[in-house]
Amino acid sequence: MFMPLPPMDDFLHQYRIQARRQIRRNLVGGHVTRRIGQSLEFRDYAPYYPGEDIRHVDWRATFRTHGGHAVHQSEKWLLRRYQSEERLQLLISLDLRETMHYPKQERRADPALLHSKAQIARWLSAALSSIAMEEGDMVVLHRLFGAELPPAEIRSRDQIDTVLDHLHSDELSEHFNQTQLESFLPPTAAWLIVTDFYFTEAAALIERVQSAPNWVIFVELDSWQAERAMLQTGARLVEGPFSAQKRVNVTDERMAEVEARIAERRRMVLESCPRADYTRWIWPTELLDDPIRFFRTQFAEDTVLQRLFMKDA
Amino acid sequence: MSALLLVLIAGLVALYLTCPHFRQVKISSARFFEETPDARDRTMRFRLSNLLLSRSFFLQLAVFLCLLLALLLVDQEVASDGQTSIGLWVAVDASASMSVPGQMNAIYDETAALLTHISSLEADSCLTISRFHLDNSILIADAAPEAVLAQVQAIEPVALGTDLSVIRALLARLSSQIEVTDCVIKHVVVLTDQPAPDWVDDYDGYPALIWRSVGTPQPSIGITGIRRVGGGALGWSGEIAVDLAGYDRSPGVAVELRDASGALMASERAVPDADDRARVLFQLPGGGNYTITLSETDVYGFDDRVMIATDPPLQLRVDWQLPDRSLPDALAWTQDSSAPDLVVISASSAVPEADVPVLVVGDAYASAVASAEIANFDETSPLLDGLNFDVAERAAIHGLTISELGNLRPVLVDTTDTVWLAIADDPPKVYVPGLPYTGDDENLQAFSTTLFFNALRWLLDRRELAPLYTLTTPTEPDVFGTRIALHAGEGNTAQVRRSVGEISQIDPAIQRSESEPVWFLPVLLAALLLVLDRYLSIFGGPRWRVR
Repeated sequence: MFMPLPPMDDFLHQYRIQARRQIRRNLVGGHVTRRIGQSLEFRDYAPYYPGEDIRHVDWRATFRTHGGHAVHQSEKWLLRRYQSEERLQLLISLDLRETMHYPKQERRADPALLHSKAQIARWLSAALSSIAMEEGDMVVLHRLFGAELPPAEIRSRDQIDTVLDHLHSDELSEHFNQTQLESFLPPTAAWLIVTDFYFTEAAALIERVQSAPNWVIFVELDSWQAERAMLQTGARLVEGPFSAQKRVNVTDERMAEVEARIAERRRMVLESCPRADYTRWIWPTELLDDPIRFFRTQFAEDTVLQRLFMKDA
Repeated sequence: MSALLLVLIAGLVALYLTCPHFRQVKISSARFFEETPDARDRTMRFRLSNLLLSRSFFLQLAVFLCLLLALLLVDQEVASDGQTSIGLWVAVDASASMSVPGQMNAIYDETAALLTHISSLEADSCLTISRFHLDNSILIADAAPEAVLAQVQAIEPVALGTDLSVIRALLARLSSQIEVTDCVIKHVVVLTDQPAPDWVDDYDGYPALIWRSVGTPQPSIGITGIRRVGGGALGWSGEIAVDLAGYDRSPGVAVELRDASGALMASERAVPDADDRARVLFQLPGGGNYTITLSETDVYGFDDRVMIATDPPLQLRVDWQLPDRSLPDALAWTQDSSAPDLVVISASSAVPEADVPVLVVGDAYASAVASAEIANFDETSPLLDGLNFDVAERAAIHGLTISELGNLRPVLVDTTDTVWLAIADDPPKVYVPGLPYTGDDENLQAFSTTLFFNALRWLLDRRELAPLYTLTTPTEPDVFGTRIALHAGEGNTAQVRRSVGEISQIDPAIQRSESEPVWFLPVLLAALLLVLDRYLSIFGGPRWRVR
């Protein structure tokens, strides 16, 4: 049903390095910072990637492992990693309700939900988890609504898709899932909420975000423009999750009204959570022809998410 | 029909425009449409934006247009490049009239000329030869020209008449026949001594028709018919009439009557009228076989000598059960109660059970009964021929009541529901009010006598008399005994020949090309488009259902 994140180690590593080069400024609220502690304890070696701090290259270990000619081959340099860096705990809450299974494109060669918001959300979760684990951070995945499943910690990159599949269920409930949430959301954790804002039972979620001292980031997956393009104009029988069939004369005026309602819902949530950061991934007006490219573009250009991996000022 | 279909198509388009097609769309933001007003407008909207101009719609429209085109072209045909070969059907008249010397030679000569012409065309040819008289039978089919002449030469005339409707039936069959052989008949040539009938002039069908009326008209005389004459209600007296006709000559010949042994019994001279027709009467002495011959023979022999047969006796046998025997005595009827031709009883007598005509006679024309007006009568009944109803109304007829009729049905009824005349069909039975009146009232005499003999004639006409002779048939074509060949018109050997068409018309270069209907082509295209539309709608994905 869903496609796993395609191999993009180089892309993710570049992303991480790019983020590490930047300084996180003007951060609001309590959040975890990444520091280099005074007392550095060696942890292990890792391959060197261009852009990393060359001072941490262990030349002796490099020559011992690859020989003297390795000095000219940066890919063989070994980088020392230290234990005392504080680990980031990242909780990613995924909205996996049925509205996230849209838009749907019927292409026989593709998995059924390849072009959906849920697929992008999964890739986002997988990409962030991969980068975080590369940093030595802790990643926990959580189902935001519906089945009362406890959050699940990712212990290796191989577990990501397994855990994501575990979080999917056929339950249609929009009840905010708080099962064991407190255990995985210490005050220093960053809480990433990936959703389309089409939920109705927002009160419990808003209350929890308001009371959390965490750094909260809302990631909105906005497919309205694409769905508006599907409607065009004329007589339509509109169907969708959590709503009955409705005969509608689609006009620009009517669609502006619908867009206003969606914006009002968004505004209501964000204004209720003033300390939360917000980023929005907007679907194009055409149905996704290359979802992977869309994801990579959005992910690379999203400056809010990059902050997760920036250095402190 | 085309206009009707146009109206239907216009209605379909209007329906598309007026009834918006609510295309189904599934989206995640559907719940935000709950406050959007429903599309329940009652006004008619003729906007092209309502028309779902999908690929499927255009394919379906193309199907309709193809069907409309087929209707418009239903009467159109295109000439196809027909075969350049010659397909010929030669129908040869082999009826009795072709027995006239020289007729079959003329047929042979005409056939030879036909084959000569065909060979000169240097085209492939195939011929079918048939022989016709009262029916049409194939002698040889799909034959090469070489085999045809011998086949025609072998044709012998048969003692049968000529039914030209078999030629029309042949043309109809050939025009509608599906080609299953290589020999496609494009021309029919009729070789006969009969002049071309009028319908041949107007014939313009396929295959083409060439009527060759061959042979030489020759004078002849012949017997056209023999029938019983006289008697009737009074019983057949044994007299026969022999009708004769002269064709391009006077029929004033002697007609001889011979008995079964061939002995001459009588000879009468035929006296022709202005139309060259004559009649000779003979009195046959009794039952048996007789031969009637003409004193002169001519080119056509089938009507010069015929044999007839009659059954004895010739006098009427009547079982007369009324006390007054003056009438049967006057008519010289033979009293026979064992095997009568007719039973005459009074109205109070019981009807015999034998299957024999019965005449029921009422109680005279009584003057003690008050006269009454006629209320109802069967105007088609021959029993009322020549009757004066005014006389009847003054006659005070004593008839039967409705309850006394039995299986008789009324023919003449008065205002008091008294039946004056009634009949039954099986067995034949007639009720008459009484015997012919012999009193002073002449009108009543005439009325009662006419009525009585009308009834008598009606009853006696239902007797089945054996025919004097029978005609030959295709299953029994030979003249034998009283089976003779007196078919109507066959003896007219002097008919003026009239041909329609020439042998030279048979030419592959100018022969009428076949034409084929074209309406099935757009129908076939419509069917293919419909299959394509359905296939794409099922397997082509949503792009075949959306704009």
